[in-house]
Amino acid sequence: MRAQVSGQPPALTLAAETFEELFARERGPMVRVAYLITGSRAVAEEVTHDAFVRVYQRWGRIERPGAYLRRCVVNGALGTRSRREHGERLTRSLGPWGGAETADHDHTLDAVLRLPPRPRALVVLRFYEQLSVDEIAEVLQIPAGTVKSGLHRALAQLREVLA
Amino acid sequence: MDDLQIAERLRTDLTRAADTALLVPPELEAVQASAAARRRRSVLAGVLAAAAALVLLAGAVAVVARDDGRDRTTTGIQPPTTRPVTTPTPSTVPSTVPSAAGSGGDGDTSSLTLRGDGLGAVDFGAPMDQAIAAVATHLGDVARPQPKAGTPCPGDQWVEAGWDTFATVVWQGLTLVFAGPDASSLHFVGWFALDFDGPVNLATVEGPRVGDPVAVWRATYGSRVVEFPEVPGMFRVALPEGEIVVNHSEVGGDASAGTLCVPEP
Repeated sequence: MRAQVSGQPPALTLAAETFEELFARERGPMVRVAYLITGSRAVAEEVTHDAFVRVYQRWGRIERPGAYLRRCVVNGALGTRSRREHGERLTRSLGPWGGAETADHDHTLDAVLRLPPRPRALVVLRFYEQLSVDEIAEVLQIPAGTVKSGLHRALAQLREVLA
Repeated sequence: MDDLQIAERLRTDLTRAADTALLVPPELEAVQASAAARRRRSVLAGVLAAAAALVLLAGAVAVVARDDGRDRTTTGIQPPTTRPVTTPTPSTVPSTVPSAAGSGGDGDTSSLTLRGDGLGAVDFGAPMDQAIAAVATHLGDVARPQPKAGTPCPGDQWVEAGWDTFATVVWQGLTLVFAGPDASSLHFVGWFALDFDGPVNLATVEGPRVGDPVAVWRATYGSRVVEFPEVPGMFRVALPEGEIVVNHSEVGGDASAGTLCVPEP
C-alpha cells in the first residue's frame, strides 16, 4: 500500500465532487510539488495559482482533475526559470563557512534541483508524491517505459551525488 | 547506497524540505478572480481578433469587387437594401436560410437588441439556423454559410473540446459567428458589428446604440462602462446579462461593438 504524503490520500484515485473540495485538498501539496521542482517559493506559489486557475476554467470538462492539476503544476514549474536563474536562495541554515551545518534535506534538494528538468519532475512525483510509474505516466502523458528509464537514470545521478 | 536507501532518503528529505519552506498556498478567492479576469481578457481578445479579421475580409471583398467591375453580382443573398452584402463564400452557397417572420423577433423590427448573452431574441448557444432565422427577421434572408476548419476563439479550451469548425454570416456589417464540433452542429457564439449600415438600429435595451460615443454609454450605464487605456475609443460595458465591447473612435470614425466566444463549449 502506498504511503500517504502529509496525510493526503492518493489524489489521483479520488473523484473530487467540487472544485472547492479539490482545492482544499490539493492547495498545500501542489505548492510543495512546485517548490521541489523549481526550488523557488515565489515561482512555486505563482505556478500553483495558475494551475488552479486552469483547472477552474475547465471544471466539468476534465475527467481526472487530480491528474490534470498535477500536469499543469509540473508543466508550469518546468516552464519557469530555475531557482538559480530567479536569483532566489533556498531557506537554509548557514553552511560550514558560517559556522552551522547545512541541513541534509537541503543537500538532497540541491541534488534534485541539479537534475535536468524532466527527470527532476519524475523524482518529485515518484519519491515525494509517491505516485506509481503508471500514475506518473498518466500525469505527464508519457509512456510508462519512459518514466522507468528516466527514473533509473535520475537515481544513478543522485546516487553519485548523495553517496 | 542502494535504491531502497536512496528512495527513503529522497522521501524523507524532500518532505522535510517542502515542510520547512514556509510556502503560501493559493487562496480560493484569488484563483476565482484570476479566472474571471482571464475570461474577460479572452473575450476582448476575441472581439479584437474578429475586428481584425473583418477588416481584412472587407478589404479582400473590396479588391474582388473592384477586379470584377460592374459585372459582379451578389449571389445567394437577398439583401433588404441596395447595398451589396458579403458573406465569406457567397458564390458557392446556393441555399438560403429563410427568415423567421413572426417568430423569434424582438417585436419591434426597427431595432435589434444588443445583448451580452445573445442578440435580439436569440441566445448564445442556439443552433445556427435558428439564430440566422431570428436575425433575418430584421435584416432579410442570407446565404447559408460554408463551415470552415478552425476556431475564431482564443484559448485552448475550444480545441480541447473539439470545437474546431466555425462559420460566419454577415449582414451589412453585422456578423454572426458560429462554432461547434462539426458542420452539422454549429452554435451561435458571438456577434460583431463593424460600420453597420443596415435598416435597423443596433441598440441595447436601455438605449445606447453602436456609434454612440462613450459619454452616451456612460450616461446610461455609469461605472459599468470601463475604457481600455491602451485602445483609445474602446470600452467594455457590463450589461446585466453579460459584457459587450464597444469601439467608437473619434479619429478613424470606427463604430463597432461585439462579443465573441460566449458561452464556452
